[in-house]
Formats: sequence, structure tokens, C-alpha cells
Amino acid sequence: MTDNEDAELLQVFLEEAREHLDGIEGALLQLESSEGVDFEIVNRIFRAVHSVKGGAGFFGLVAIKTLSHAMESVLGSMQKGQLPANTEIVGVLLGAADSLVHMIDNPAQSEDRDIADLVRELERIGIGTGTKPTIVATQPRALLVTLPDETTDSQATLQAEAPAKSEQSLDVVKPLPLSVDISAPRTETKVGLEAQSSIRVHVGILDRLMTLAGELVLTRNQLLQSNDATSSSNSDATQRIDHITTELQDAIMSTRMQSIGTAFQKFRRVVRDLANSLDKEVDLVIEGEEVELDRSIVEAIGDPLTHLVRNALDHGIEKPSLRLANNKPRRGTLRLSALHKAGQVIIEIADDGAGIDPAKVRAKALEKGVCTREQLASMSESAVIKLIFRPGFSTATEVTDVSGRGIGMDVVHSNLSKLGGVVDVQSNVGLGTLMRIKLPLTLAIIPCLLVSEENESFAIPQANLIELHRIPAREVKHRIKNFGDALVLRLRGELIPLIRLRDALKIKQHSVASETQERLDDQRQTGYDRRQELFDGSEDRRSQSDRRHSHRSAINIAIVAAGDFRYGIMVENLQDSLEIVVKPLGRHLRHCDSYAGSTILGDGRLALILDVVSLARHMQAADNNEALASARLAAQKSVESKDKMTLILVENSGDELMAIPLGLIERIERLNRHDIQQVGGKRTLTYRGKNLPLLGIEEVANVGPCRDKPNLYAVVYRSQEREVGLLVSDLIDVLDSSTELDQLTHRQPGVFGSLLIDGKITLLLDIHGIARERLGLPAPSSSESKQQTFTVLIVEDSRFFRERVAEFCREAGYQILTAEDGLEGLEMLDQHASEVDLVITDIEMPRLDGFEFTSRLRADPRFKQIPVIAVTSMMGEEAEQRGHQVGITEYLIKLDRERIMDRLKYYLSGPGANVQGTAA
Amino acid sequence: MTHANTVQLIAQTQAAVFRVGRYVCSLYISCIQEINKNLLLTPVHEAPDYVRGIINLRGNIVTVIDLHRKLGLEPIAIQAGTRNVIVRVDREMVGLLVDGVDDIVEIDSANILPTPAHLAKELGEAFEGVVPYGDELVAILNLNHILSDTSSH
Repeated sequence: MTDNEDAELLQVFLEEAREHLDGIEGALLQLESSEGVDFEIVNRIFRAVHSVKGGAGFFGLVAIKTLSHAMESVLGSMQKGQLPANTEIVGVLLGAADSLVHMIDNPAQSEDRDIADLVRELERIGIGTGTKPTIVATQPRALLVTLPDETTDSQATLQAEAPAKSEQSLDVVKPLPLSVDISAPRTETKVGLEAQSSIRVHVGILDRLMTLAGELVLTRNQLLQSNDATSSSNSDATQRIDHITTELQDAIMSTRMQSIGTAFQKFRRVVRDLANSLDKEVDLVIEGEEVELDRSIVEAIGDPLTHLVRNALDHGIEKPSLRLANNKPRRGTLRLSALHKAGQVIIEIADDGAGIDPAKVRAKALEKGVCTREQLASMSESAVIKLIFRPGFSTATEVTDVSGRGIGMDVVHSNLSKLGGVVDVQSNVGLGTLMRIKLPLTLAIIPCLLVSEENESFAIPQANLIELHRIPAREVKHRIKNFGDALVLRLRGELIPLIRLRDALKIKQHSVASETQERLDDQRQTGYDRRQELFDGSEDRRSQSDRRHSHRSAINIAIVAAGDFRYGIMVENLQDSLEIVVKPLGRHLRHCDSYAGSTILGDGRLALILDVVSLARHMQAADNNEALASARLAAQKSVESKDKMTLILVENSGDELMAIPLGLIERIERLNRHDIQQVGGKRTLTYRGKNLPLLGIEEVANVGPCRDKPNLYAVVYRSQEREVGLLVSDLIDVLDSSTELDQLTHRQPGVFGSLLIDGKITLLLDIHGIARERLGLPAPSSSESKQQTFTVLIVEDSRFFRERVAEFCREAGYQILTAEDGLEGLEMLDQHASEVDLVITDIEMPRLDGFEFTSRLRADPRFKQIPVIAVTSMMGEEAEQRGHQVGITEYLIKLDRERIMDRLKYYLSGPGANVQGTAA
Repeated sequence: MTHANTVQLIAQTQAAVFRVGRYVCSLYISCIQEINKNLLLTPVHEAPDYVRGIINLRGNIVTVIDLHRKLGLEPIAIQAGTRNVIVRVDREMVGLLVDGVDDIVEIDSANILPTPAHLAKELGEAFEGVVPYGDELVAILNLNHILSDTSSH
């Protein structure tokens, strides 16, 4: 065997050993926390240590062999039930495992490491077994379990009678790696087989695959575009390439995905050790370990997480004596959790400790000069708490070796920002602190919407995008208003601030001379204000390139979200949405914070990726806030108090107009008829690796069949915790409609009734009803009929909604009282004060609206605790906030039967039954 | 970014000679990756005025700098002779727009003279020194200074 081969073999051993040892720490901690001795775990640890010992002997790594041998003896005694798995013993084993890891990491220096103390300690524990027969006696049942067959039996004897001898026998057969298996328990073979389902791949190769996949995506895009232009006969092959590329990209992406458990696991040890050294008692609860993130992100969040966890233990959770004095359980709880939400991963670190005291933060901020007194005076408490993320801020009164070394939260904040993440903090003095981190799933490839301005393309990340609007020329005047310097869009009764991309980026106009001339002429004629001119000026080229949109001076707006702040970006053209590979900008451009990077488009041109958050900052600075605020107020007043519902109008057979309440819909997908798969009489669409069941309206309601055209739309919504898609042939419009519903003429399964919209009869679809009919989903809650005792008061002026909600509730077994407005609601409550368990109220009502109704109800001591659910057809943040102020417990969308039923159950018989009442 | 300096230690070094407005400049070949006519510039609004835009160089995004601006001249007018000199520094590629590449010459470090006082006053550290080139003087560009992302006039 050459030296080279030797070195290679050693490398393989070291890598394997590392893997074995990786699991040991977790297993030991698990062992410590489990009741009695969990023999399954002991066996696992034993096998790992044993494998390490075998390999170390083969390579002549004596120190490693000696130490693992000593550990093995202790574990062997434990296997036989002669030793308990108490804190002391596990502590020593952990120490030994740490030493092993260290030696494996530095094999050349392993012989120099002083392991004598550890070995002695282990031997002392091992000898102790003979003097503690009581332990054996206390666990006879467990002992029986460990001896299921003769293999374990013989092996146990082998270890028990002469460890030295068994080692000798190992020496003899050493050159054969098989020796490990021979002496190991039989179960090992099974474990070995499982392990073979994965192989080791160098990260560099994965990264290269990723880059190549990225380039393939670009080429695919190019191919698709050129195919669009020529519509050649090889479109089938192109389509296949399109699909395969997408799948390939997903598959490669998934190789880079790692479960966040990798990052979480190490905290078991960190928390244990830290709690011990701080004399605190802490339970660590880990949730959502299976949530997957890009490897680079998992690696990068390790440090920020460690900092937050250390902080929670050091400053958050109190010592047991203090906790008891404060009527809290002796042991503190630290909860680490991860979950997927809207294409992002949310990580929470919550402790039930002392919380952050805003007063202390204020004092500290003044002392450190982070803020002035005036600034502090105008800050809300939550804003004050967020000061901890400012540079140079640390609340620790003493510098400890655990945390509080002056640097701290600001580093956490900036590190997470670099990853495209956001960290937020909520804290209640005496109750605890919650840190919430939002992270993107991956940094490499993101879905974007492409927009253009003056023939330059820009990409808006889909994650920031809420919706797209095209305001037709005839509505521009009505929908877009000018308040001082601020432009706003009226959208479903709300005012949304607007920026023009061209202005925000200061794009100079450099159009073809003749066009410019035309535009100038145009402007001179009209003589509107400057903004109006721009509305009118820019569509000549567009109408050439896109004849379908023939409205002159229609305006395209992308509504985006920057954190909680929503605004609209006016752009010249809305183009495709596509997956792009993010490429960073060079260092000369790092100060251009309007961009998050750049990407190469299918035709080789470049597009800059817009940083929606930074753009918002531009606007907010330039924004005349007062003007905007007054504009909002004016707009709110001008929205007719009449109850309105936002509907999406669709067509199916081509001659029947149908409407779906927008609030019930998750999203709309455009799909190709060929992509629909029909299996077992059910149609599905395979979409992002999942099956989306597709329903036809005609399958339930007596309406015409779906028009036969290549492109259809699926209106996606959630029914019974799963997503379903309702097939329609065309999308017609989105509009606000008053709800004068005819419930008699067209009522049928899947249809609530009919509305008159622009003089046309329009069927209002019952999409949850359709899902129930087609998928055989159970009618929610009707079987759980133990709820007769609960009474629900429904306050709602529209007869249609009142009856719908009452119907849901009756079906679910609740007693119903109804009232037609707030005043009547209060009378009903007064008469039935002892009966009513929960109130559902509309917001927009004549005589007394939902806000006023709730605030008067809350003023009555009898109803301080009663849950009040507001149902509305327009959900606005401001309205929601106002609602919470007057004491509305929760906001829900009208007609969202499932959600309403779910929450009723929650407040009446679920976990919310005890914590109901006045929020905030 | 000591590339240019270390190269200087060797007595004879090849350098590319090009024109930037009224100046004749040079850069050591060893810092140049390529010279091309890729002028398909995508403007980056809000960028410093010396950044002319970005280009796609075989899948890499390269920032392109207008050397005219860096040397205190009016923005370059892109013409048939305009070239993009791609240099690689700190693993990042940057393009430099020049008015035309004339020659590749051998520069003997012994011939390098200090930058004339009036030029040094105007352009600070933009030049490392000058060498005679035919009847003219060629200024050796200080790449560190040219690529610094803070200095703009």
C-alpha cells in the first residue's frame, strides 16, 4: 500500500469518524433528558464510538483508540443497565466526545493531547458499576428488553469479561475493515444499508452545477423568446426543454437545501452548557427542524442565532430564585422554531424571561448618544425596543463572558441584512422576548417581474410584488390623484402612494427625435399639469408594440410591499415574469441602493433588479406626509358607506358572467390546457412539485362547459387546508360591487345567487361549496354537534351576508341571534346578556357602525371579555388597527366560511376560549 | 491591489498604450485581461458619474468606467475607435473606456520619470509616472487610484 493510498484511506476514516461523532453529542443530550436509560440511544452511541475505535487502531492513532475504548466500556456498562445516564456520567462522556472531535480534526497532534484525566474519569465511572447493584435492580424491565437475541447476549459477555481481550481480537483482523462489522451488533448492517442511500459530494461541485443550471436557465429563456417570435414547428421540444430545465434547476437547488435542524442542533449543547454556567434552568424547545433553506444561508445564520440564543439566556431568562419570586415556573423555556411562510423562512427565538425594559433602553440610548431626548419622546415603546439593533448599543449592565461585549445586536442585524433577512423584536417586561427573523429560501435564483422604462428593463422580485394594475385611460383621472407632491392611487377604498420609476431613478428621456417632437406637440395642446402630460405622453410606442391594449394613456402600476409599507411603482411597460439568476453589482456601484443586483436576460441584455425597500425610503423622504395623511382621510370619507365587496369577474362558457369574492382567493394561475392531467375522473395540475386539484364550475353548477381554448386560468383558493384551483376560461375584470344579491332566481349548488353588474346578470359563485361537492370534503364542523350550548350574535345589515353567516353557524350547531345594525345589536345583547358567547359584526352599517358598536359593547363591563369577530369585505391595515383599538378580537373576510368556522371553534371551545377578550 | 507595483520591479515590462482625450496613457499588460469592442452598455441610474454602465461579458457583469471622467475630462463620446479595456483587480473585472489603443510597448523601469508637476497637481495620484514614447510622454496609470470608488471630481 503506497503512502498516497494510506493518506487517502486516513482521510476517508477521518471523514467517517467526524460523521459518527456529529451525532454523538445530540444523542448524549437526548440520553440525558430521557427517562431512565434509553437503550436504543446507548446502542447508537456505542456503535459510533466503536467504529471510531476500530479505525483509530488501524491507523495507529493510539490516543484516539484509548479514549474511545474507555468511552466504549462505560457505554457497555450502560447497555447492560449497570450504569444510569445521569448528568454526571453524560457530562464526562460529552467531554470525552469533545476531545475525540478535537483529535479527529487534528489527527497529527492527536498523540500529544493529554487524555489521561479523561480516561481515568471514565474508568472510575466504569469501576463504579460493580459497587452499585441497586441500579440493576431498579431497572429489570429495561434489562430484559436489551437482550432480545443471542447476538447481543454474546457480545455483552465479550465486553463485560475482558475489554482488553476483545481489543486483541480486533488487532488480529485489523487490516480488514470488515472487522468492525464482525464485532458489532447485528443491527449495524441495517444502519449501514440506510447510510448508503447518500453519498458525499464536494460543495464546489454543487456550486458549479448551480452556476451551470443558472446559465441553462438563461439559455432556456433565450430559446423561449426566439421561439415566441418564429413559432416554429419544434415548439414541442422547446417546451420539453423548458420543463426539464425547470425540474433540473429545482433538483439542483434541492441539493443545496439543508434542513435548518443542522443549525438548530448545536444549540442543545450551547443551551445546556450555558445554563449550567449561569446557574439557570432552561428547557430548550426546538420546532420546525425539517424546514429547508439554502446551504449558504443555513451556514451564515449560525452566528447571529448563537448571539440571539446567548442573549436570551444571559439577559432574558432569570435565575430560578428570581423566577419563583415572580410566580413563574422555576425552569425557563427557550423556544427555537422555524416555519415556511409566503416563500420565506421565519425563525423565532422566544424566551419567557424578563423581557426588555423600554425604560432601560431609553436611558441607555441617551447615555450612548444613540438618540436625542426629543427623538425618544416621540417613539412608541416597540420603536424604543428596536433601538437595541442600533450600532454601539448593549443593555448588559455588566460585561459578561457570555454576551454583552459591546458589539452585539447591531452585528446580528447587519449580518442578517446581508442575507436579505429582517429581524424584528417584540418584548413584554416580565413575560419574555420574541425575536423574529425572516429569511429568503435562497439567494441564487429568484422569480421576478420584468418591467421596462425607456427601453431599459428592470426586475422586481416577486417576493415584494403584491399585485399589478392597469388603469385604463378613462379611469386615470378618477383613480390617480395628485396631493401636493404626492401621487396616490385609489384602490378598493384605500389610497396607495405612487412613484414613477422614471422619476425615482432619474431616468433621462432619450427617445427618438420625431416621437419626442410629437409628444411635445401633444403637451402644448393639452396644457395639463406635468404629471398629466406624462400619463398621456408615453403610450405611442407601447401601442405599437402591444396592440391588444389599445387604450390610450392607460397606466401600468406594480403594487409592492416594503415591509409593512405598500406603494405602487408606475412603469411604462409590464413584461414577463421569469426566474432570474442574481448577479451582484461591482464595488463602484455599491452605493446605488436602489438596486439589489443585476441579471442577464434571455437575449443577453442586462436588467437591474430593483430594491423595493430602498426605493420606498426615497419616496418616504420626499413624501409630504401631511398631505398624504389628509388625502387618505378625504378618500376614506368619500368611499361610500354602502357595503361593498370586491369581486373578480370571470367567464367559463363564454356567455355567462360569474363573480368570485376576491378576498377568498389565494392567487390566479395561467395554465396551458395540455398541462392538465386527467386521472380517475379528476383533473389535476402538477405545479411546483405539487398536485393542484382542478375543479370545473360546470361539474357542480348547471352552467355551460369551459370554453375550449389553449390557455385557461385556475383561480386558486384554500378549502379544508388544501389548495384547489377553479378552472375558468377568461378573467374579465376586478371591481367593487354593492351586494344587492338575488338569492332566489339563480340559487343552485355552487352558486349563491345573482348580481346585476353593468346591467348583466352575474352569478356569484360559492367556491367552497364547489370544492365540497367535487372533492367530497366534509361540510365543516357539522358533525361536531357538541356546540349547541353556544350562542352567536350576528350583527349585519346586508340580508344576504346575515343569512349566509347564520346558515354556516346553524349548520355547525350554534344558536343564532341576529341584528340589522349596531343599535339593534346592542339591544339584543342587552336582552340576551347571559346567553351570547360570541359576536360577529359587520363594519359598514347604517345608524351605528361596527367600530362604534364594539367600543360601546366593550364599555359595558358584562361584555369586556366576549370575543368580537369583525367580518368585512375590504381588509385595510388602518381599519384593522382601528378595530383593534376599539376592542375587535379578530378580522375575517365575509363568506370565508372555513376560516370563520375555524375561529368560532377556536374562541368557543378551542384554546382561545380562555384567552379571549379585549385585545390591545 | 499591489499588482501594478510588483510588476514594476521587473526591469522590462510590456504595456498597452492608449489615448484618453488629450492624454496618452498606458497600463501594464499583466493587469489587462482583454481589450474589446463590447460597448452594449446598460446605464445604471444614480451611479457615480464616472460609471458609464454595466456590460455582460460572457455571463459576468462588468462595471464600465469612463476614463475621461476619471481624468477630469468631458464624458467620452463613443465612436468607432472606442475600446473597452478590461482589467481584473481583486477578482473583479472592470472595464475602462478609452479613445483607442495604439500600441504595445516595452517599458524599462529605469526610464520612468516622475509625473510633471502641473499634471500631478491637476490629477493627484492618477499617474504613477511618465515614460518617453516617440515624441510624446506616456503617463502610466495608477490603477489603484483609477479604480478607487470614492474619488470623483
